[in-house]
Formats: sequence, C-alpha cells, structure tokens
Amino acid sequence: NMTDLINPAPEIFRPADLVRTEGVFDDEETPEEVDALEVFELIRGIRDPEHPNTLEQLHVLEADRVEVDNKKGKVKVWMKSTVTHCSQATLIGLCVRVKLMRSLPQRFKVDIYMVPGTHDQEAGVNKQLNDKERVAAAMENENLMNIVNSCLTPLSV
Amino acid sequence: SMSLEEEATLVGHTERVWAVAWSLRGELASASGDGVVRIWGKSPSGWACKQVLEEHSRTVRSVAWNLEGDALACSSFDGTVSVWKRSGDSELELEDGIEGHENEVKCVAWDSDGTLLATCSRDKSVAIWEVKSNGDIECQEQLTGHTQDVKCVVWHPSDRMLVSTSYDDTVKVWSERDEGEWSCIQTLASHTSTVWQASFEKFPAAHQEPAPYPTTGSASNPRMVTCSDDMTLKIWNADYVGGTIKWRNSCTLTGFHTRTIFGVDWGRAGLIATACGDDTIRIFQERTMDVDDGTCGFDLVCSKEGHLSDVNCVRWNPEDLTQLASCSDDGTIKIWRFRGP
Repeated sequence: NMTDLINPAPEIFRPADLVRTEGVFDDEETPEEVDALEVFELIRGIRDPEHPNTLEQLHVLEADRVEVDNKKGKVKVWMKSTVTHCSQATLIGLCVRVKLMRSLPQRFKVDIYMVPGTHDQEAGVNKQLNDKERVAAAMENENLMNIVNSCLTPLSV
Repeated sequence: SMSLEEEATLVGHTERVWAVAWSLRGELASASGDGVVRIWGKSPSGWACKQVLEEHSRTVRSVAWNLEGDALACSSFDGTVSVWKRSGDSELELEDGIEGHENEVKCVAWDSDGTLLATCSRDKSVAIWEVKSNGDIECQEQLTGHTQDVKCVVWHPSDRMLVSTSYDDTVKVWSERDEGEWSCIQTLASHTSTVWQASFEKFPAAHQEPAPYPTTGSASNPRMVTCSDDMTLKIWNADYVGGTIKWRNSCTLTGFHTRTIFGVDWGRAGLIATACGDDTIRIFQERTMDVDDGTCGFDLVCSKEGHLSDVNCVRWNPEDLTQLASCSDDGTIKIWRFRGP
C-alpha cells in the first residue's frame, strides 16, 4: 500500500560509474588493506526495505561518504536519509553494519552516522547504530534478521 | 616501569566474550555470544575449562558469583537469569531461573550477603530478587526511572545500596529505605553518553596483605568509578549531607581512551583497570602525593593493546590482587599479571 510508505515517491539516481585504481593496494605484505571504494562496493547494492531500489540509487549511500583509515583500522559510513522523519533509518543502518561485519576483516572498527541535518532524530539514530550491544541483540532477533537478509540479497536485474 | 604480562589465553568460546567473573576460589566464569557460560580453573598443568553451562537460547551477557563461590547467576538476551549451585567441589547444577524481564537481561549482581540478586534489562527496569534459603527466588521490587536500557547494576560493598548505569547517560543510586522497599535517592547526570559500567573502590580483606598501591579512600566510605561511551572515566565520592549520602563527581579522566569504555574494575590492589573498544587494557593508579588543586589524582600507569578486537570486561582477582582477567570480541579470555616498578 503506497500510502503507508514513509517516502512514497523517492528520487531515484543512476548508479555512479566508478573505476577502481588497480594496484594501489596489492602489497603482498598487507593483504587486509581495503579502500573506501571497496567498502562502498560492499554496501552500494543493499536494497531499501520499502522500495525496489538500492541504497545507492536512493542516494542513501554515496562513494564519497565512506572513509577508510587502514593504519588505524577504521571505517566510517555516513548515510543520508531520504526524508527527515525516516523511521527506517535504524533498520537501514543495521543492514549496512551487518553487511560490513560479515565482509570486513575483524580489525576494522565501523562507525555509521547519519549525514548531519538529514534526520530529525540524528543523535538517537547514531547512538543506536553504534551501540554494539543493541546491534548484537538485534542480530539475534529472527524476524528482524529475515528483513535484513532480504535487504542484503542482491536485486535481480 | 609498570607492565601487564600475559599469563594465559583461554580459548573455547566461539563468539565474542562479554563478561568474566572471579570466584573467591580462583575460578573464572565467562559469558559469551555463543550462548554458553564456561567455568575455567587453574590446575598444575595450566588453565583449563572445567564445565560448560548450556541453558540459554541466546547471548549470555553477564555472570556473577556469590561471595562463597558456590552459586553463580547468569543473565541472557533470552530475557532470563539462570542460577546455578554446587556443594563442595562438585559441578554446578541448575537451581532456579528468573523470568520477569520483558527482554534482554544485561546484567546480574549478588549482594554481599548472597541473599539478594539485582538484574537490569532493555525493558528499562532494575529488579531486586530475594533468594530464599529453600532456593526459591521471589521478586522483591521492580524499580523504574531510567528512560532507556539499563546496562549494569552493582551493589555497594557494605550498605544496602545499588547503582545502575544506563543508555540514558545517567547513573542511578537506589537505597533500601525500609525493609524490602527501595527507591532512587540520586541520579548522576555527568556523562554525555551511555554509561556502560560502574565499580566500587575495594580494599584488601582482613586476611590479606595491605594494598600494594594504596589510595586515599577508606573501606568505610568507598568511592565509585563509572565508564562511558563518552570515552571518560568518572570518580565519585560519597559525601554525607544531613545523614543522607550524596555522590559527587570528584574527578574525570579524559583523553586516555580512544573509543567506548565498556568495562571498569577498581580492584583490591588499589588500581583501576578499564576495558576499551580500542582493544586496549589500561591501568590507573591514584596519585597519593602532590595532588594539585583541581587536577585529577589518577595516573595512567599501563596501557596494553591486549586483544585483537574490543575489550569488553576486565576483572581483578579478589584473592590474587595483581592478577587481572580480560575478555574480548576476539573470542578469547586472557589472564594478566600487573607488575609495578
């Protein structure tokens, strides 16, 4: 039912043409090096919970809003909410976190934030997304994880 | 200089280890995301897992021994608490369970008499349970007041007082006004993010040597330390104003930790240890000489990147005062020896 959707008609963007710079991180000594584009590639295809679009197509995620510090083992992702009252923000953030937990080497600390000014519950959403105890409890919730896993299943083109 | 030397690594859990607790018999209990509790003991051939407690259907978040070390309480994300007992050196056996919280039980703690259990939950409540001599457990009081998840409950070492820390950024102090009637006597609102744990200052027991790292506190009026997602530690002093206790933030340790501080323990040796999301264990010692006005009287005396991932909990051995246990998201538990200069 379209009238129940938080944002019934989101703007859809064309996926970016991104070219990886080959050979930058092919040092045999440090096999765990990842770059921001690699992290973005892991999460760009996550599906929005209520639209048949990817988070990239909705501009929730963009390549230049992923930051990686290999030396310190830090990954930061900023998510833009399509509407300031989006009640799906914590669910979308959980999808991003679960995907990165499953994909990145354990040494990386992942912080996920809303882009400042794009959500009216910004502080609360940020706090929840980065409380690992809440995340752990959510990941033991079967119903919630069914939704997360379906959002992490690639869209068939 | 001062150092932490690794004595043992305990491997067995298959997920992150959330909490460890020493019994006065020198055993360690550990709680993990793999849903089990492991009991570890040291034999002449080294540390070994002596028993695995499989009762919970989800993460076991915390474990607590009673003073005698013959009863263990475990709290779980499955919303229940299991209570295990043993006689002598026999294995722990499931004695009773507590069902009363609506969802994840994040912490459980025995009072010093071993007759009361405190629990706290994502349901925002703190509960006090009476453990009867016949083994039955009855809810004495359910305390509400926190506006978000309650992360941790800790009993005062001697007084009928309980402290809870919360995702709502506050610490609440609860006191027994009349027999079995508890109320919040103070809300401490100095931290700027989730308060993960609290620990009371502890002193050597009567049969033990004096603390190797003396502090300015006193056993009759112990201080408290709290740790937070705001990356600070706060020291609290208890002042008695008109016959009632008032906790006062006497000192804040800022700039030492680079991520969330998940755990803190003020041990009987006089040292404060912290468990941090930057994989590091830190040890703080009180400056008992040359305390300038307005400056914090605690020094970082040791910093050890001891795990491959977040450190979730640190606990000083109450019987071997410079021995420390830590546990981590890397799935391991480590036993350390703190060596002074």
